[in-house]
Amino acid sequence: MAVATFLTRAIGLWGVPIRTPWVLRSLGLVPVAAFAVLVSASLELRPGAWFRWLVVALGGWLSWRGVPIWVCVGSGLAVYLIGISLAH
Amino acid sequence: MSGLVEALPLWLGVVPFGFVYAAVGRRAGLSGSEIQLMSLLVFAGGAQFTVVRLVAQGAPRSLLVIAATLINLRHVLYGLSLAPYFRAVRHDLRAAAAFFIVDESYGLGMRAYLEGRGGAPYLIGAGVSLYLAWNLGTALGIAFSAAVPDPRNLGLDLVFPLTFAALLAPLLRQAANRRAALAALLAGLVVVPALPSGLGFVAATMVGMLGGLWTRD
Repeated sequence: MAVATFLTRAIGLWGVPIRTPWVLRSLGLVPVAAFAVLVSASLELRPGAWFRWLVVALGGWLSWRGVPIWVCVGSGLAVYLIGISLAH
Repeated sequence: MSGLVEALPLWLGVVPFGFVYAAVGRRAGLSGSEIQLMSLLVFAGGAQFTVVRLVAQGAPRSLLVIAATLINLRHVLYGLSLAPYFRAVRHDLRAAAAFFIVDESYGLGMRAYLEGRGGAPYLIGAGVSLYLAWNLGTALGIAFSAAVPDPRNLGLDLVFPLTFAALLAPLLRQAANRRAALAALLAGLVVVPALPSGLGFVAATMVGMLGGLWTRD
């Protein structure tokens, strides 16, 4: 399992040089698409999850405005914890 | 060192995640050394969670490897997108970087590359930081999981989507990226729960890439 996992990580790094323009363009979109999937797959659409989506949107907006990642994460977490404690 | 330091805020999410993994592993009947060894050698949270669940169901070893490989297929895409930056990197450094590619180190590493300050040492530094956090969380979970409540109840699992949203947002200034993100976000909601974990992630990412390819900036 450790070897299989390592191979999935290494195959791409040692991949053949790619020059086809549309493939290069696609690979440039991997981070954007992957981050978006990681956000939606982590949050899911379920009843009562709207506040989590709102907090994550706030973190994204802060980052858009140039705020460092650790501040975005810390602020989001603080807002979330305050929010759920007020709700209870 | 900068990668190592910049990954420190993620410890808030990674340590509890490792803790929960160890607790799940304990409940599946694995020994402390088996749980820790998997974190030391595999270092892939999603795959490890799936494997301990399969172990609990008595799945054969071959299925464990297949499941772990499917879940980690996204790493192939990560590697391919990083490859242009690694052409001139020594093979030993490349191998070290490969071992430490996980979602979070890829995210930080790629952002650093896009900002013109990336490099193999940065990626490895971020990976080492996350590796330490993951193994610390695992060790704490093995020792104390029976006595401590589930950290997910404290909302610490929100660290991951917050981090990825923060990594994503600055990339949305281009129209193609916005369309790719929207397509991937929607596909992630529909496809990821519908397919086996690894396949769902890869399929949703590809839908996002297609969405971006449609747009010309």
